Amino acid sequence: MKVTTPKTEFISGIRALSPLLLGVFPFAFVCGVEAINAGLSVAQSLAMNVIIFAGASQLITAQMISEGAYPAMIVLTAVGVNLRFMMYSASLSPLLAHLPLRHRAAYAYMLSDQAYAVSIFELEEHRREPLKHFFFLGAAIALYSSWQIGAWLGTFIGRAVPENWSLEFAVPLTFLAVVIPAIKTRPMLVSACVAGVVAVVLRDLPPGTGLVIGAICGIGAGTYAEVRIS
Amino acid sequence: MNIWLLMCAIGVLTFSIRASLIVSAGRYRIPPGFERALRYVPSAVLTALILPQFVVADGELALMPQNFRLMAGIVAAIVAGLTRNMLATIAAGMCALWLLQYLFS
Repeated sequence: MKVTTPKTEFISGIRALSPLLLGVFPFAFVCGVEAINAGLSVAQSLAMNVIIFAGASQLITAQMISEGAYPAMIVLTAVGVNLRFMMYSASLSPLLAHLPLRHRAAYAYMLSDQAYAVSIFELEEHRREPLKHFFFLGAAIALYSSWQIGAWLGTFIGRAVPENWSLEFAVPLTFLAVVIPAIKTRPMLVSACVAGVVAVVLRDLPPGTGLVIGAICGIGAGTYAEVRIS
Repeated sequence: MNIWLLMCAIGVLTFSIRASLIVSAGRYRIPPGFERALRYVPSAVLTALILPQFVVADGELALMPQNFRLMAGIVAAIVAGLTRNMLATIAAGMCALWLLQYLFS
């Protein structure tokens, strides 16, 4: 029987996450750059990665700030994008239930798409093993620290990048890189198409409004499509 | 607008979402209807966010080859679908954009 210790589990978690780092660094870098471009101070840009620590919503926030969107809209949209963490929270909950509250809060804080993705199967398969949460801890810390490094680089070096490099185009590309592989079912495709089209049609509304309405329509369309199929 | 206040609001709410079920340790179940809707949040929100950035130029719908960002986006989308690799997707899209800008402007 393989001997597992907290340390071996922790290292396994880091190892499981490491292939994803190559994609995480550019994302974090762009988040740092975009925060500065949106007019945030260095302190604010760096703090964003600790206070929020969620790339997609950080980029959306930076963009909506540059567009002059209403704060309520920005909060609504940023938090809306982060609602997916509720699904992660739900599926991880039974696996972390045995830990003290303080620890669970810390794990929750560091929850990220990547740490979740590499850990969930490992955690479910080895439900009975009491040390598996260290695997998730390793993955989560690996992602968190790499993210901060990437964001720091983006915040400080970002200014040095010339404007005609069109580096800001990397931002929608980053989301494209996330969305396309994530669209795995027909209802998801429906939700994406409806959301996108509505957002384009409503582009002249105040900044962020078209996005929120489009997203709500997309969520509705996807849910409807799923119900129709079953 | 106070940026710090904004960030803290988003941060606190985001942490609440992350902690929602982990901290309540399985005492609450998400209603199945809500869970079903949650599944479509990422694809809907992210597409609603980015599609205008590819097909709209200066406020106008620009669905022609002269819209370099759209062309580069299509290239990147294909690469994303084939490789599922973030770095490859970003690289492909940026290179396509730079190539088009270099050749045609």
